[in-house]
Amino acid sequence: MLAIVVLGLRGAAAVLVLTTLVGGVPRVVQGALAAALGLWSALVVADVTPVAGIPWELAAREIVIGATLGIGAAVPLLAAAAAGRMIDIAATGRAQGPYAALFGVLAAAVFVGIDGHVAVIDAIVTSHRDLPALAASRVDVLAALAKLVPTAIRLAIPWLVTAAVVQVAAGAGTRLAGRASASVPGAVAVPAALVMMTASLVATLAVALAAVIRHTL
Amino acid sequence: MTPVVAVLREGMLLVLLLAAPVLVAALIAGIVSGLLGAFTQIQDPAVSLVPRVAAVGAAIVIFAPAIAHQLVAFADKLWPLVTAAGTVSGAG
Repeated sequence: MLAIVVLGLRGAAAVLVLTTLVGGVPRVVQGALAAALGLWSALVVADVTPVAGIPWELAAREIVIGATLGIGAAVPLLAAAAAGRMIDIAATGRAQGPYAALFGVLAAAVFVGIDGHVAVIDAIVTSHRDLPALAASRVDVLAALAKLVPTAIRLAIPWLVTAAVVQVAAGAGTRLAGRASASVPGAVAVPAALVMMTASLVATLAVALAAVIRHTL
Repeated sequence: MTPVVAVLREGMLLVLLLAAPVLVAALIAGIVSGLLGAFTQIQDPAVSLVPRVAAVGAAIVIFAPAIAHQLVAFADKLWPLVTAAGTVSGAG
């Protein structure tokens, strides 16, 4: 029973991360999907993937691998959502508007239309074959996770500096436009910086998780 | 450049590609409506907002197939990589 739970964590984490990043899915549906897919994938691979080792180590490893798969699958959807937010900022001055929702629907249609959900499920099962839940290598998950924060900070710095430069440039532009008696939507700078910082956080998380997996395996 | 970084870089470029046609339409509509407002001295916000929203809507209608094509092309390239994520991660 414990083995099934540990094996199921990979699929559950992938679904939870994917649906959380994409957004718009109710928590109950997220939980039900994660539990169903996690249980199903665990039952599918239980015969071919024996679980050995300390459960909490395996559990952490399974969650990290599942989360990475979820982030990878979410990249096209996040790109569409970011494009929608940029258009919303240009058209309405707000980051959350109708065009972000429209692009989200378009991305969801593409996701289902080209069997993205099948690709995610395939990835989970395939990854169980390529990266079985064995702790024979005695992975140091905690040490690997400890490297996450410095890696994330190092990766986030260029993005945060870019966001700060955007803010300063927008402020200077607004001031110059004010001297020239021209009207500039100064409020655009804040949502634009927020979009960039959100993108930076997602990118940072993905790269940091990849780094953790590389250190873990 | 690792596959993960390459994919993320391509994802960022995709954001710009998806948004570019619509942003250009919004920019042109904004400039035209700004000039119109300056010439006519009409200060109503609708004069600038309505053409911009209309231009964005029209651009989305016109460029939706191209936008969807870009998205599908990227996803087609990415999801096999996600499926092979175990192998890619394991190689590092």
